[in-house]
Amino acid sequence: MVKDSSGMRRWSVGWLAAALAALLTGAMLLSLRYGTTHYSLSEIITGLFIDHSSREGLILSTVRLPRLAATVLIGASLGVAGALMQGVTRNPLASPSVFGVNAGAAFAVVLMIVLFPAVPVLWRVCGALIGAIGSVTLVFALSKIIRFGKPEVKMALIGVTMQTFLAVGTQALLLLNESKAEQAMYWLAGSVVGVRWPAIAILACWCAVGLALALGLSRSLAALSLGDEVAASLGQQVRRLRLMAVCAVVMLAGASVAVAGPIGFVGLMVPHIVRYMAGVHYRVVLPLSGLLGALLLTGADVCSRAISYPGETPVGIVTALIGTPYFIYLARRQGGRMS
Amino acid sequence: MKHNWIVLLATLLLIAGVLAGCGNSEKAEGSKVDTTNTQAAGDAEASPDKQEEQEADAQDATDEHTTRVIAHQAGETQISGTPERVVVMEYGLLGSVLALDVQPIGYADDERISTLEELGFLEQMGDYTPVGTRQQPNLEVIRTLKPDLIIGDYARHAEVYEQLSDIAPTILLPDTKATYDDALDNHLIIGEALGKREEAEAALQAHQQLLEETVKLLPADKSYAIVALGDAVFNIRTNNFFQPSMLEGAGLNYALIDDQGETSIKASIEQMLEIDPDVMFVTHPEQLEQWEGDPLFAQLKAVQTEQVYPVLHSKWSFARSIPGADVVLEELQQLAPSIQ
Repeated sequence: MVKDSSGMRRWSVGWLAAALAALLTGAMLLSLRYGTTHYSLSEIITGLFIDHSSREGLILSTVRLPRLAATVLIGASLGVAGALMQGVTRNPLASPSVFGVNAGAAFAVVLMIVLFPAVPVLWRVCGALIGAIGSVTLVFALSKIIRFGKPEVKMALIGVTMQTFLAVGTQALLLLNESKAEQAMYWLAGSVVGVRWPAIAILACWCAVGLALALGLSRSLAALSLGDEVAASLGQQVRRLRLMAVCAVVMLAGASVAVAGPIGFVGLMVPHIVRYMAGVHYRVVLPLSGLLGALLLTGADVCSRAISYPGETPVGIVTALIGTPYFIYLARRQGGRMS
Repeated sequence: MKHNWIVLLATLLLIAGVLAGCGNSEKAEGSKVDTTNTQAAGDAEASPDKQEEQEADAQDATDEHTTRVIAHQAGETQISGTPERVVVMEYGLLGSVLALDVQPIGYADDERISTLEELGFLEQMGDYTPVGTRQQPNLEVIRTLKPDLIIGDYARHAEVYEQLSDIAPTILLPDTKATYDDALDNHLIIGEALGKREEAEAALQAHQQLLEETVKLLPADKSYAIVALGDAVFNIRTNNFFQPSMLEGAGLNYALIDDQGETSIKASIEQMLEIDPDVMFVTHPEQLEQWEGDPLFAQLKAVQTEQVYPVLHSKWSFARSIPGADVVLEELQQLAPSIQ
């Protein structure tokens, strides 16, 4: 039923992966090259591998490289998390924020900034993670207690409610603490500026586990996309599978939002583009979503440096600029198909 | 049956949430548009009107109890006599009111006194009634105070101007978006409204003298910047921001010039190194600890020559008024001997 026109494989997966990887390498080089000063390839190599102590070396190794690492990891995580979410909820417009991941993290971070303005970055990252996990746990617990309708519809509905509830809380905190809002607002827009290595270590651990779990689940997820009954008849333990997929989503999206703030639309757009190009099988969709997510966010981050130069535009604003028209296009297309 | 009420509850919550969300965003957009449109217009017509009005008033300046018309950003307001029950709704405006020896009966203090304390306003204020937040002042509380003058911020309160005017004569002036020139005008207009024009004019003269003296004390060949520290980004004030525009106008070499009217830019350490001011005044100094271990931060000229001066965000960013500017200038005079 899903394998209609969009299920046709249009390009060989191998070629597609190679092309994406090549583009990603190019984008990564651009990300190291462009900034306040532009570096040549030889300067990049010297700065990164030979001489760390020069100003170029320091900028490359303590500013641009960690920023690039964060961008690639977060892009890949958001892409994969989006693909997982759309599979688990069978909702093509779902993204990790539907479970309240971003709203939970945002609430926690704003609360921390209001209560302890000088809180170290690493504490903020941990707080955001706790907020994200807490909010998803709550959504899950509520959807266990409350009984009605299909599980995926129920989860999405409760998730949206929770998300709105937390967003109102965040708004209230910001309104009542205007003097501290400046710092919080920048984080809320989603930005990878000034990310340092310790935060990336945390990010990398969570991403590694999350990505491994996601790839491990990919075969079973294909069955789930056919519907709970079919999946169960194919020997899948549907509830356990769904729980594990949600765990992976929380790890990937939670760690991302913790480090960079909520960056929207990557998780929504990427899986659609991948399915359009490479078909619907999760063993293909998940890794390719990771690659394309990394490519998209790295590209957006390079653009973000030019928009209001010499100031930094949060990369979340750039992805929103690209994503909003795409979202509307998607919603219209989906609407047309249903009627 | 059992789940029906839960669905209902969830739906209600959802609707409430969505409504709250929509309300907020609409308001934010509305006020943004308002300020950009009308501020220019308001500025343009405010000054000639004011002059005309001052001339008219000069004829019977001896009588304090005459009715006078005050031109301000939201229109013209008639005030008679000397207002005694004044409600103020923003920090910069409060600074001017207090400097003119008037204690407001109500202030929108955002339900906290820490900023008032930092600015040194609290002890000058005596007993006052909190009237809610600056963003959303409580109109009912204001009404029960029976004020005879309300002074608000145009950017924040233009939407409730009608309601406020219904309570008492209201003047709205630029504060959150105030430039240095706006602050000069504000002080005169507030002085006029409070029936203390001469005091206000004297304060302006004293201020201009203080400014000249201070700038003379500071090395002219150095570049200066005011930076709000964040944990990842620097919020560098441009020459259009209140305090920098004052100092630059008096001849100081400010490090970050922006032609597009931006009042601040968010920059990474890379751009900070590119701007590299000789002298930095940093607000939110609690963030300094995190930066001190950063090898690139250590390469900044101001850091290497120990020309980084921690200052209070409330004084160096909020107090957009002539008295507030004087506080900054006095601090600058104290710092001047070590600035090189």
